[in-house]
Amino acid sequence: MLLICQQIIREKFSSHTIIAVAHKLDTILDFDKVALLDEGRLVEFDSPYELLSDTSSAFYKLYFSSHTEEDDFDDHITLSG
Amino acid sequence: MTGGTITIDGLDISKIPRKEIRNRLIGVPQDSYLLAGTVRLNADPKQSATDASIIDALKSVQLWDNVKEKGGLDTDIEKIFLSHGQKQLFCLARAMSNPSKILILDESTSSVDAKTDELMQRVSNRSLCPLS
Repeated sequence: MLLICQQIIREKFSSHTIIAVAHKLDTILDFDKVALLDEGRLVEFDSPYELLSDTSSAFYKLYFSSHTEEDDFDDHITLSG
Repeated sequence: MTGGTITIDGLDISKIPRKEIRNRLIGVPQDSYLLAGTVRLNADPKQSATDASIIDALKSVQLWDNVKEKGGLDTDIEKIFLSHGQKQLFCLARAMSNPSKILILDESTSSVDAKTDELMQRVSNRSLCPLS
């Protein structure tokens, strides 16, 4: 989702309860709780901060692995562009 | 997990009629959909909002000038020629016209194609985007 959409969601829906199905994990770091699912099963449920503080958490691993992938992807785009 | 309940304000939603639940939730999918018809119909499919509130919603997603230029709320949505990113913004404006308090955002699985697409959108929408 576009960055401007993220900004609008935070401004205009600030009094709403927001449930987001997210793959780009940067977009949910300011959410109250993360429910991490793996093959349909709930594996973690806590605040993003708590989960990221625990280097053994599945959310920590997912967050940093997705970042590595994105970096690779960006490099690829830069090279091909 | 094979069972469980979803409760909203203490009410088990499996005991509430589906139509009622759908009325009380706002869904914004990643793949924005538009209906054949006017801007007004698309911004407020339930036809419950005032023109002023629809215009406010369109202004807050920076699409009102575009719509106004092409004739206003009665213009056919296809004549507005919204980009992929603008369609996402339009769907947020639609969500704003909905009085419900629960917003559900669904971001589709991020394949490489989707990422490329978004990157392109980010570039093409840079002028719209104060955060980039």
